[in-house]
Parts: sequence; C-alpha cells; structure tokens
Amino acid sequence: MQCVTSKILSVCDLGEEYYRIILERPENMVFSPGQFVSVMDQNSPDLLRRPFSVASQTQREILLLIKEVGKMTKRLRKSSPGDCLSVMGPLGKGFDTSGQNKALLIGGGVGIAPLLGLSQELDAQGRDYLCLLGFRDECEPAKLFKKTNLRIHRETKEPGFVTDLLKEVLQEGVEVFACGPLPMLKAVRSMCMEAGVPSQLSLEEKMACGIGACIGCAVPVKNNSGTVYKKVCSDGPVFRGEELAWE
Amino acid sequence: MGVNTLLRTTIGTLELKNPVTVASGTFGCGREFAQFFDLSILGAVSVKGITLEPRKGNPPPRLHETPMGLLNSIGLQNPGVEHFIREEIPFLRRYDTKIIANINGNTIEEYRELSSILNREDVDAIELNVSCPNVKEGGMVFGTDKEMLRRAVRAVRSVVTKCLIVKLSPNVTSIADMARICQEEGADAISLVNTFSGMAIDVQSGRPVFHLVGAGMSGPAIKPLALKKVYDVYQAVEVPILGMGGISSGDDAVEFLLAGSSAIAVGTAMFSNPLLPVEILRYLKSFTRAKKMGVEHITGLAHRGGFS
Repeated sequence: MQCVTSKILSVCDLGEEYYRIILERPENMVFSPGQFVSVMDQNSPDLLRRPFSVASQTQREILLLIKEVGKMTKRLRKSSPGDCLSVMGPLGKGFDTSGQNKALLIGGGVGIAPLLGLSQELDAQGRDYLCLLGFRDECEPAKLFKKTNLRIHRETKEPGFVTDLLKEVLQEGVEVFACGPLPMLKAVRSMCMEAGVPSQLSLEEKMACGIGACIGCAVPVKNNSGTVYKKVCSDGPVFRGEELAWE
Repeated sequence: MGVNTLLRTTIGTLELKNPVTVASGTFGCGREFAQFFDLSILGAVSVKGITLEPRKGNPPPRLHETPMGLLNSIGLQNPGVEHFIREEIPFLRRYDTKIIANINGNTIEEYRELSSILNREDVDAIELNVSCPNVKEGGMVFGTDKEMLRRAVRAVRSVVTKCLIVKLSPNVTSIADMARICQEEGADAISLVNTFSGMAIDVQSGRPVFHLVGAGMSGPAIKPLALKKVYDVYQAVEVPILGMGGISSGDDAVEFLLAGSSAIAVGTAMFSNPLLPVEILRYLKSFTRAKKMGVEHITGLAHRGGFS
C-alpha cells in the first residue's frame, strides 16, 4: 500500500451524471478487480479522502468511473490534465476470481465500475461471463464494456429493474458478482441464496481511514455466536452474499 | 544540544524520546499505519480502546463528516484484553516506541480488573478512558461526574504501579476541576481532550444520523476548543499533559506544547495524511533547533511570556 501523488491524464464526460478520470498509475501500485483507491485533491477543503473503485488499469494508467454526487466529485470533474491527486492504494480485498463456472456480473449505476476490471480479468482468463448493467436513465458508462456478452437495463425505458435480467439467466452452476445500490445488492443476494448460487457483493460505505484502523465502515457479518461487524474497507469491500447478516 | 535531546520529554513516569504520539481509536494497534512509516519514530502509541471482554461496537452508520470535522460512533469495538495481550503487545514491541494501553469499562470493578491485568503485562502506561461518548453504559459517565471520576481514578490507581494517564472528556463545565481530582487521586498525567459530544440529523428522514443520537466530534474543527482546555488544565494542575484535539500540522503541535502539553497526539488528521506524524516530528526537529530550545522548555511557554 502506498500514498503518493499521481497526475491526472484525462477527464472525460460520460453523459450528464458520469465521467471518467484517467490517472497515471503509480509505480508498483497494482490492483486486482474490486480493489479501490482513496483520493484527495491538493486544495481539498474536505477533511477526509474519498474512496473510488478502480474500474480498470493498464501498465501506465488507472481508470476511475465517477458519478457526480457531491462537492468533491463536482470539483474533481473540473480538474484538468496535469493536475495532481494524492492517491492511496491499493485498498481492500477484491473479487475472488479463482472459480471456473460461468460468471454473471450485475451492476447498478456507478456500481458498474469494479465490474469493468473484473470483466477484463475474466476475458484474460477465457472464462465465460455475462454482464447485466442497470441504469436509471443515462447509460453512457456501459460503453466502456465489450459489446459482446452485455445486456443493459434502463429504468426510464423499460419496466422493472436490472435484477429482472438476472432472474432470466440465473441458474445452478453460475457464480454472481455484483456492485450497486444497497437495495439492488440485497435483492441479488436473496435471489442467489434462493437459487443456491454463490455471490460476491462489492459494498459501499462511508470511510474515514480506508485502511482498517478506525473501524468506521462496519457491516454485519454472520459468525458462530450471531453477528460481528467487519470493516468494508479492509475486510471487504467484496463479501460473499452468504456471510452478510442483512435482515 | 543535539536534536535528540531537544525532543525528549516526559509524561509522569513515562520518558519519551520525542513528544509525537498517536491518539487512541485513530490508529488501531498500529498495524495499518506500519505500512506507511516505521512506528519506531513515534514517542508512543496509544492503542484502540480495550475492554475486558470483546465488544461488538455500534451498528452503522458510525461516521459523519462535517466541515473539517468528523463525528464518530464506533462504540469501542475491540476483540478484548486477551487478544490485545496475545497479539498486539508482541507486535508493538517490535518497534522502539512506548505502548499506552487505553482501558474502558462499564463499572468501577471492570476498570480495576482490566487495569490490574494490564499492569502485569508489557505495556508502558495505562490510559484510563473515562470519556468515551459512544457507549450506553459507563464511558463518559465516569468523566463527567466528579464523584464517579474520583472513584474510578482511585480504584485504578490502587492497582496500577505503571504510569497512569487519565483521559478527560471536554464535555464538562470545568475541565480544570476534573483534572484536579485526577491529580489528587494520584494520576501521573492527564490526556485531553477526548471527542466533543455532537450530533447530526438527516434532513430527508428527519431523524438523527446515529442510533445513539450523540456522537464524538474530532478533527481540525475542534482544535481551538481543545487548545483552550489544555491551557486551562495546565494552569490548574502540576501533572503533565498529553495534549490532543484536531492537530493537523507542525504548528498545531507547537501550539499544544506552548499551551502546556508535554507531548501531543495526532488523530483524525492522519486519515487523510497517514504520514502526518512523520511530518510533525520533522517540523519539531527544525523548530526546536531554530528556537534553540527543547520541548520540555517549550511546554507551557505561552503561560510564561512566550519565546521573548
């Protein structure tokens, strides 16, 4: 893990809501799919860093897919190539990609970010997969994904949710990887548990340190004596659906 | 005088090679931050609050950011004293830094039992936390009620032969009165401040953000408030002060020394800058050299006419 300064190489709009930032990849900072960085801009008036999934990486670059939701993401969107960010990473434990079964990747909104790198990893492994991406309206970020094995659901265009696509293709012998809003993740988890299919869910939570020291990003997980709180930042952000103790 | 001599300081019976320490609850037991810097540079580490039995902690949400501040409601989640003794003491002993064990309880009896256990272990000091605002029982009750504070310090002092530090809550009318009680009951030092009691309300739901309503406020936003508490306590007691509350730069650290701290602790600001303790230490080295004055002489200097 490192905390270093990294240069912004490009900022590019993906519709109104979303944009992507390409950062210079700090030397020796290597990410597995599902890991994240926490960043801070140089003149930040904020106290805390902000965590972002690494959507994908190349030899020299890191790609972040970002949704404008607050002041920080608004400011970041206005940054220019050459501006610098303080980048801490790689953080967290990513997806376990050691399985062999067909993978179903289901993402909602900006939650599709870690699935991009995951799909690239599965491509490299030659593993069979299908991406189901859901959006409220704008679906520009889906363009980052390969067109083959991709299905898109837009809530403003069709009835239902992206989980309805999952229902159609969910069957025994697959493995599900999901990231998105909490209601979506809860629905995915129960569908998978009912179908007896293993799932890996990437969670989002407010974080302070991002490295496991402050225990601020708690998620209830089952254990022998009931439930314990694990840390989304360092025990996760990816958890197995079966282990989560959500009502 | 060499740099090393200039930085040396003591908190009661605890001798520190430099005044830079880290605040309990912000640093775990050091493992996470050891990825960023060598913990041996620190004067001391105050570990995440310890209880006799494991504590599950509070349900989320546990964090809420405010302008330059942070509200937290962690609820003392920790795996208990046995785990601390077995896993964390040996880990920290790999580094050349003092270990301050931060202890918490629901009752006087729990405080006494826990401190007597840790007094037999390889830690350098015991920090009696009577100021955690985020638990239903115990916690801050002992730090805000004079008689309860007296009983807690007396009970712990009766079994602790190591350096005993009492960590005070700022959520009182007169923190100087509380500090006097600690001194009367034989505390070796006082650490302050713990977090300020605060809250946030979600305007969409119309309900408090945190399940326990109140939460502990830390970060640069509280620095001027904490500094004044240190200044006041310095005037009230003879025992040394471990000062903290929103320190986020070398100058902040110097301010706390000048107000009366013999050593300082960095906390919340490390979340955005994990190398802050290293930077503050470097700053203090050059500051003391430039002023040709050691930390022990800078401590409390604001009460004595400053550097003139």
